[in-house]
Amino acid sequence: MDMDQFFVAVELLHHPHLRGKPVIVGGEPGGRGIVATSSYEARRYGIRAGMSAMEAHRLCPHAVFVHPNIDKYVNMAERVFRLLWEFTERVEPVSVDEAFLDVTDLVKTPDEVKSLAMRIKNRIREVEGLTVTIGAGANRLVAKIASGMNKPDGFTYLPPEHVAEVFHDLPVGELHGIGRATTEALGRLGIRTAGQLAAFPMDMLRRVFGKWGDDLQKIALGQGDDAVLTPNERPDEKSMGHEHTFDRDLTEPALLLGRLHLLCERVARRLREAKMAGRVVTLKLRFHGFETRFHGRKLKDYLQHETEIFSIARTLFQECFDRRPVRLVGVSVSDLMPDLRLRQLDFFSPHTRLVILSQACDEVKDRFGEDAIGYATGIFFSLRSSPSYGIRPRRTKCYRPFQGV
Amino acid sequence: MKFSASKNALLSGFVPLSAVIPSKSPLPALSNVLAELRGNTLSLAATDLEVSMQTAIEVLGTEDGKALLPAKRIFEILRELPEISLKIAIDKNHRITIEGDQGNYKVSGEDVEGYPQIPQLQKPQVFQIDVGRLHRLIEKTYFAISKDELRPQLTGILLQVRSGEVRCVSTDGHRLVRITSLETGYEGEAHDFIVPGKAMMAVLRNAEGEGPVELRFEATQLSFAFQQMKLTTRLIEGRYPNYEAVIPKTNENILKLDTDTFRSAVRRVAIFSNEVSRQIRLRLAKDNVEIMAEDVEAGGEARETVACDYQGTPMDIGYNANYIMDVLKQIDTTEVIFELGAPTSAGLVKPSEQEKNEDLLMLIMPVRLS
Repeated sequence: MDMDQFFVAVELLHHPHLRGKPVIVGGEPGGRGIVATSSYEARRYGIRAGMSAMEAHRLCPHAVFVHPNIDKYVNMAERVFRLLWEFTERVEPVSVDEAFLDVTDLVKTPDEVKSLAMRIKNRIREVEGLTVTIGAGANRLVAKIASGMNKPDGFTYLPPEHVAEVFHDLPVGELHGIGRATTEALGRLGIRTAGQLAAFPMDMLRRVFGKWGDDLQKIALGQGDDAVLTPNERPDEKSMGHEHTFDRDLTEPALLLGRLHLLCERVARRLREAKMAGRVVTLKLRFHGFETRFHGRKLKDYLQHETEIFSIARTLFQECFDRRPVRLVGVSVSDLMPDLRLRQLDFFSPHTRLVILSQACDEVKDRFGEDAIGYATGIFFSLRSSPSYGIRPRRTKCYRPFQGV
Repeated sequence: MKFSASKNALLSGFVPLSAVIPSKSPLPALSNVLAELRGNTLSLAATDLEVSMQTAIEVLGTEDGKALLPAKRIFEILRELPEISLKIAIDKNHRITIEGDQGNYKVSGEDVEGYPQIPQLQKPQVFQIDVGRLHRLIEKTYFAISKDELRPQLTGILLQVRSGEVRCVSTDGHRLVRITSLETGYEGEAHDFIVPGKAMMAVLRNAEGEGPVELRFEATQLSFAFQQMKLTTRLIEGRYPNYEAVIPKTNENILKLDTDTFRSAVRRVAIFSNEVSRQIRLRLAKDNVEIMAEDVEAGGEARETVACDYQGTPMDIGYNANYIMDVLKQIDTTEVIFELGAPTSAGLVKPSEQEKNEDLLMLIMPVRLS
């Protein structure tokens, strides 16, 4: 199940007057943000997700830019996923707008597949007012490809006998499970399509990719036995991280560290929500010209609080920041384990004071939103949408359609 | 060295030493007991380089001397023997012979040269405390000592000597005990010592009966002398954390419970708590406290309600069940009083009535609930 132009669709529910217009959810047109999602009207101008906002603005000067409000989308996604659970428990959300459903036990014939898909689509439309595209197939790989074949508001069932035909000309990069690095490596072997990959001599694939070569060819043939895993069955998350691309390259350490602190806050909050703690902190810096550096440290103690994570991240930053303009900053925490031991409070440990502080802040955020309370270091960023840095009503802050400048 | 003594007399000299002999040591000589015979007095000593214990027993000496005796072997044979008279001889080659009515036992000893010096305090300052009182001070505080070597001060018991009173304090950061013995009769300077847990355990095991314990101290050493024993310990250096600062003064939620009823309920519910966190939840209401535990991983849960008298804001508060049980074990009165603050701040635990000349106060830190 793939939700159509998801971020835009959610914004349209809140702002129906934008319907029918080219709408872009993403960074500001004047700045250096990117397009997260664009409406189908905008896509007609050649605007695609991942494109720079500036480029999008050039292609379609009258497009309406909406600042993304991730909370709103996550909230909606959860509501949609809950509707999916009405049909089966075997739902695996893979991103904010996509989920796999295992309906093996519910349907037997192609007709039953279609009627179930229609019921799911209708239910989501009736309850949430959103359209989705459903692709069906014998496994995740095929279903994913099928879901891309008839957008928006579509349905495609790809029966096993048609898989080879459809896969034949697909670029390998579109196959679920083959990422950018593998695509590039395959490209060096002259392999561009799934058909070429399927026909490629196995021993050569093995030489380049090892055991992964066997899997690659299976993927190219549309074969796969990956089970649909419900969130409870999924292996635990291995790391948690956040990153941010700046509107313009920054060289001021104070601003970079301010943003880094904000990212640490988010990571820490997610860790606490998941009741996890980690002991490897990794900093990611991307400089002007796209050179990217990762710098990490393994600690003795497990961390869960932004102050602790930030103090490590700051040291890492000082160790690898060389005053070159920075385009992106990110931080992640890995080597995770349940935080059971950290929950015991301590008379003397400064950690206990942090725990009490973060618990209070988490409660405020749960009730009033992520921006309701924060550290002063992040103040420039959380008020970023106000050109005068004045205080604006909190609720409206996240929505800011820019008419073309 | 030659002497004869009864099995029980020898055992009484050896047993206290077992509290300090290290089970594993980089210095193999430390697994021995240092014995020295002068006339009819046999002095025995053992050390782990931090804590040393010396005892003395009366024997029938025939030839003075010094020797190292392998502790484990000697303990084992002494324990197995009936109460008889034994003849012990150690020759120049450190060969030890123990002769009894039913046979003899031989074992190799070692040269005394390899054994470290047992510290002797030169010009110590002295004060006294009653054995029973010292025993009780240690007994009530020992359980809360930290095992975290990263906080070395907390691995000991803080012994505070003041005019008219002696205090013992221990904490591992999660719970804290402060017990004060009043009207000790000591008038003089105030002293603070952080005594290693192992030394306190050795005192606890051996300080019995009646009479005074003489404490002597000098620089970084403290010694306890009682009956025929003397224990000398290195003190833990550094500053003990300011424990007074963490004792809440204004906890207004007062919870009174029957000690045994509460303890056994916690014990039952705790069986169903998570193995690592041991977390239980107390839901406090005016007339009853609900004790709950849940272990998501193992899929168990438990719930019990115990009658109480609670004057305060109804709330949920989480604790490590083991800590609650440890603390309740120290309460000798049928009723226990908890004085609580917020669910994230330290709570006070006290007996409903203090013993004569004593003030016992315990603190317990909650587990964060969410």
